Amino acid sequence: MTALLKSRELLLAVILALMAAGITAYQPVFMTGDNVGDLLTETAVLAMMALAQMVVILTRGIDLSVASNLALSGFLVALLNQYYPDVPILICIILGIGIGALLGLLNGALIAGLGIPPIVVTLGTLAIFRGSIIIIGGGDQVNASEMSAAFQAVPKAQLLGLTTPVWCAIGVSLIMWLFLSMTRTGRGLYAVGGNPVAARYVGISLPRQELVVYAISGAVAGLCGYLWVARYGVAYSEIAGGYELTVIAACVIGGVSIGGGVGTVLGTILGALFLGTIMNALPVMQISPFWQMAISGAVILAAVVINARAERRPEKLILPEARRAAGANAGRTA
Amino acid sequence: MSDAASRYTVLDTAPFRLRDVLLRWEVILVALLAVVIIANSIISPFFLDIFNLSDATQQFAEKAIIALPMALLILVREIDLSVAAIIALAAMTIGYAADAGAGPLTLFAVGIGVGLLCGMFNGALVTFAGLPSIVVTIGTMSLFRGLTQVILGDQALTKYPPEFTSLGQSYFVKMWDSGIPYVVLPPIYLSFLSFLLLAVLFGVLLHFTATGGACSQLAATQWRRAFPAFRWTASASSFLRFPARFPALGRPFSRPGSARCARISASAWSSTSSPW
Repeated sequence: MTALLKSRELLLAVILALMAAGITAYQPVFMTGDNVGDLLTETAVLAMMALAQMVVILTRGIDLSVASNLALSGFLVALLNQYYPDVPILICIILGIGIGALLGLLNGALIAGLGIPPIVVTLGTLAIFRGSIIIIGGGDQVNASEMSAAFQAVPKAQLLGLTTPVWCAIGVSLIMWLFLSMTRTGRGLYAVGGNPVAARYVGISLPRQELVVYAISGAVAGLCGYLWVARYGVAYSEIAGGYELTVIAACVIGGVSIGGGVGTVLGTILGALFLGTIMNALPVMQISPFWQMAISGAVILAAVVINARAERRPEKLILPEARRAAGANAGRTA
Repeated sequence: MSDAASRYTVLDTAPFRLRDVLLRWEVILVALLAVVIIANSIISPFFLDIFNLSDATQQFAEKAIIALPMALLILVREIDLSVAAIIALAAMTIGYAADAGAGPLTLFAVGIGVGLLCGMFNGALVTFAGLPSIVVTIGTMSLFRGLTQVILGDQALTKYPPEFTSLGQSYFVKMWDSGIPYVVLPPIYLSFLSFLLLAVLFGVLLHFTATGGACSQLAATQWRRAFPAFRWTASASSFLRFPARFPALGRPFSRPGSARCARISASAWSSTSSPW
């Protein structure tokens, strides 16, 4: 029970509920079906990107190129649709995921293969990916009129009242949860982030893990690239500019430790929901656009101060002799 | 038997090898710079032109000013993403001060003061609240830029005193209609300041923080007990080891109190942004 009360996820959920209640009391329109649907659809992309980013941060890495990756894979998929409108949408989506994964693998190969720090590699590819959009498109953008109707209909399609991005986010969350809790690679990520030296001793290969996580991050960015471009009906070099920082903020608010090894799927989703709610609520509460940035900055800071003191769990002594020795020592010093 | 030479020779310093010098990152960078300049002059006849070079110098000078203190921050495994937002906030404050009729010197003080306050805010959150700097500065990035937007709205300030703007736009060595702009001066003297800072004062603490917690605790103790003597050895060692210590940044790290004061000062320092 105390563990439940102490849990970061519960604290965040309570704050989120209080915030939603407060906003509704001020502007009842916030809790209407339309607005909640909008909020969820907006947040779905952020949640997926944050989950992918969490997987990277677990290994003590960071992927700053996710937003550029999203823009580039979205742009390529939009170009494909512009010139070959007959290609089935499913193929487009799979291609988007594939392109994203390849771009992510490029990051992973540079980081794992050459041993360059992740922040440096992904800062470089951030610029390269956005630059490539300008080179490939010759500076042109793909407009809504140049994309097929079917291509743009997918993100707006509803099933059981929820739009496609929300279902995608649910799917990605489930896959991530299964991956992180059930697979050997997924468990290994926590080990690598928590204690790299120990992880290496038990035979977990960091370079292999890094390839996997950056590929995952890229694949999710590719999927979101399609959803983004199809939803807003425009693809050019500046879409999702600076979005990588929002994604990282969502992770940290969700309790992911930037130092690696700490983070849960639920917490990250709540972190994304928290930021999504703020972004949605400020216009709904008719706050001047000039104030919105300052308030979201202050709220991010406040959330982090309350929630992001991610302390790593202390190592446990698993051998009985070591535990006895430690116990005896503790007795002597006390 | 006791006179027999040991099988191993342990040298006090590494033997000088030309290869080590040539493979230093700084040397490689200079070589790369030379390659880029030569390639550019071949590709474009307009590259080696006094106007272009002067313009390029003005462009990189501002980045150099911010990169210098950022190096100090990265040295202690922190980062400041809010520097650009602080520039906006400081520039706005300077604009209002200029509107109120403040002289150039006051304007400098205002700019540096605002930057210092912003940096100390970041530094306090990172050190006292123990939060990761990347997250703190993502937040303050929005906060500082947001504050600028709140205060400024959709207008822009353009009324700066002439002697103030002329510093940013004129040349201290005149050549034809162009020359070497004044803006290259701050990077030069700031480089010198950073160098002094690294070598003499913070250098020791920063390096020890980067290399390991226990070391920095030790350094703090030593520092208190034997300040004058320690300063000498420490400055000498950080002069020599500065490039060599960079690879050590990937090792585990704890946050002892002594390092904290170094970090908060570095944070504040990083954000002192005057407009030029």
